[in-house]
Amino acid sequence: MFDNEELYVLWKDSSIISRVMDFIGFTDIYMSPLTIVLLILFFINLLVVTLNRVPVMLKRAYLTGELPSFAAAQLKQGKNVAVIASETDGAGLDERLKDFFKEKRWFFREGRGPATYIAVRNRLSPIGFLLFHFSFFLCLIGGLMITYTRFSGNLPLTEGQSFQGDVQQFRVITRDPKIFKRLSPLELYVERVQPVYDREVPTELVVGLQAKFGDDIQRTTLRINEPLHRGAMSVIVERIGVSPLFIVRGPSGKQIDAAYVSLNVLGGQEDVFQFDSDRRYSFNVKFFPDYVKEDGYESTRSIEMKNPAIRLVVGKDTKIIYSGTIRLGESADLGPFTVSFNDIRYWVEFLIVREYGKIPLIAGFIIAGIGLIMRLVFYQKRLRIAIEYEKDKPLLYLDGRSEYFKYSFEDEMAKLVEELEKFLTGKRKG
Amino acid sequence: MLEDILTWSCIYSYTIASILLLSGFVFNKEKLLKIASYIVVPAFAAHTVIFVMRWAATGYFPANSEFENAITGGWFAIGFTVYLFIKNRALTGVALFTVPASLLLLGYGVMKSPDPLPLAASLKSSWLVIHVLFAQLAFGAYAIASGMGLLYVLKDRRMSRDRMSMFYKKIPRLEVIEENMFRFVVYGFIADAIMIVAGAIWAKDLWGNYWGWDPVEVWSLISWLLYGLSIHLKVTLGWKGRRLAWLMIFLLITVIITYWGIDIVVENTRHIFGVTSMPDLMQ
Ligand code: HEM
Repeated sequence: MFDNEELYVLWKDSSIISRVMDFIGFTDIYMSPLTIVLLILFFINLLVVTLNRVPVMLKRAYLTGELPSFAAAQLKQGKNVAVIASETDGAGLDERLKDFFKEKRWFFREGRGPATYIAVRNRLSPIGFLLFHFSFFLCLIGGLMITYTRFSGNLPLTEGQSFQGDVQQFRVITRDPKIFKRLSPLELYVERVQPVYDREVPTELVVGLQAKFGDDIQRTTLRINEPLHRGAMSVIVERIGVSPLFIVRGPSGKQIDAAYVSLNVLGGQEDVFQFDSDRRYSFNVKFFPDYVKEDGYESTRSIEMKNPAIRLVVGKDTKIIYSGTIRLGESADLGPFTVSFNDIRYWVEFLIVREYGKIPLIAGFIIAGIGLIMRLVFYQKRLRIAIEYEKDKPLLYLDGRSEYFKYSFEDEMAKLVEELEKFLTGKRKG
Repeated sequence: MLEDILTWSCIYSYTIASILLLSGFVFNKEKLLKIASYIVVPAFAAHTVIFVMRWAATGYFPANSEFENAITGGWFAIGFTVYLFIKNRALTGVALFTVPASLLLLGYGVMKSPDPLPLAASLKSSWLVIHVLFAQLAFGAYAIASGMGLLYVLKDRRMSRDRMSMFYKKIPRLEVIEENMFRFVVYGFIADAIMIVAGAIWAKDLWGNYWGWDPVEVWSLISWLLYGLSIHLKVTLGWKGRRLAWLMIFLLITVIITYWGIDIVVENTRHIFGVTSMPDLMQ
């Protein structure tokens, strides 16, 4: 919408809409007071409902409270009651029932009424509800800790360069927490940077690194997706670029200035730099890693560093005083002095992050997963069984219900009753 | 070469099967539906071969371009369908949804970039496999739930009229469709949760933060929360019947926005599902 930042700032300062948006913090939506209020309401609601349901869930998991009370007469009236007639006189019937359900890994108990039983599959499933909903609080705690303790900054280092803990060396500090401001001591030294390409696709970026945490020196290789984590600290390779070595010489050939200049030109874009020794000159750079010139048109054959060349446009005050392309080892004649392109190295930009809160966050994830699976995969099924005697022969009445999947359970129950009948009549399988 | 032949055989088979399914459905010709299933099953076998060949040839889980995403996504959708078909023939109505959807996916993928590409550094992670696998599972399950929602609504509408055709008689009872629909929602919801968590853990290694409020992240959270809401509506508020079926049909839109909409509409997402051939390694 805006061509440059100044226009945006101009609009921002004068527009009422933008001031209103700033006031409610819409420009930073997830940190805005509105969002925070909604989040707080969400979590209060979650807390109240979940706490409120703790006793219910414990009871549903048969951990507290009494077992349900029912009698054969009640079951008989149900629509989906199954009946099993046993040929025995009923002695030891309850033991056999117990054996059957134990074998099937159902929880089995005598009911409150006489000759009544309940059998429950996945008894503890309701606890999954508590685990899952409480896990949100662990994630919240982790998230808050991360948000309020996070330091992050971008640190560019060229091959051979080191970082001794001086925050001035950061290109930007994107996050500076109000608490836990002090970083634990960290030193870095970049040994080598090697991008790997396969058919123009960057398939790897290998960074040989020495890291010093306090007194402990560690040599490692970082890659994309393979950062260095050490306690609360992470060192992540985020970006890559080239640093050509430019040497400036005066008329007598004496060296005036020399520097590896880290440029952001690998994607084909142009970058500008100046020498501290004379700020009147500005150097505009376009980079060709694998230079070719065809029909007077300059381009790069690939993105690999096979034949590096730099297109240099030098301005002094407002005039262009030089425009030309120099390859590695060549120099540009600017009149009073020359600039030569003597070496090229890679630089990488590290994202250095320090944040606490990983443990509650990951614990939250794991508990959420366990809770979800407990609740939704291993949902509870329950049978009520009552025995009635008719002419000294026992009759078993059974009814059952399942959470969520009432109709599919009908088939499952029919099968279960069939198996139970077989078991009780003694025709055991296997 | 073999891959091309198999891919095009799949595309033609799914095209024919889609036409047969649609005609069978509209004109109530059971026979057409039967022929369609005889076409889909071998086409799925060919599809499996493409999937496995791609994986073997590149050495990574096929998710590196629109084509590979199409192969993988379609494989899960058709896989689910074939599984349902074997379990319960009457449920093949779902194929009316998944077969044309996979066909469109494949067609789009072939149009874009069928040649295998080297895997960009940013995608070299075992989290990628977990993340993408569960994303596909979630999508497949949600799509089927949505298909079942559609079946429910169609059958329900027919039942309220006087006469029911053979086709609708063969589809299971409404209650059974509803329960199966919910089963797939639950399945998708769990897979979705794993997908989001795996993505967050991966993002920490790749970008340095678990959560970056990227449009794709936000939309996947929105759709997960809405599916969570739908579970609440059923479990706690007792929603059922046509209302629940419509909800499941509509919720699929949020998933489609997450998977395709963002890539098309938004430029500054860090999730690019297509090719990743950029000089800047992190793009
Ligand atoms: C203020 C927030 C929330 C409240 C008050 C709440 C409350 C509840 C309640 C009362 C139940 C029924 C428990 C039962 O009787 O079995 C439930 C179930 C469920 N909730 Fe939530 N919930 C909240 C947030 C969430 C979120 C964010 C999700 C995920 C997207 C979620 C996913 C589920 C699932 C999957 C179930 C069904 C399984 C079960 O019964 O445990 N909930 N919730």
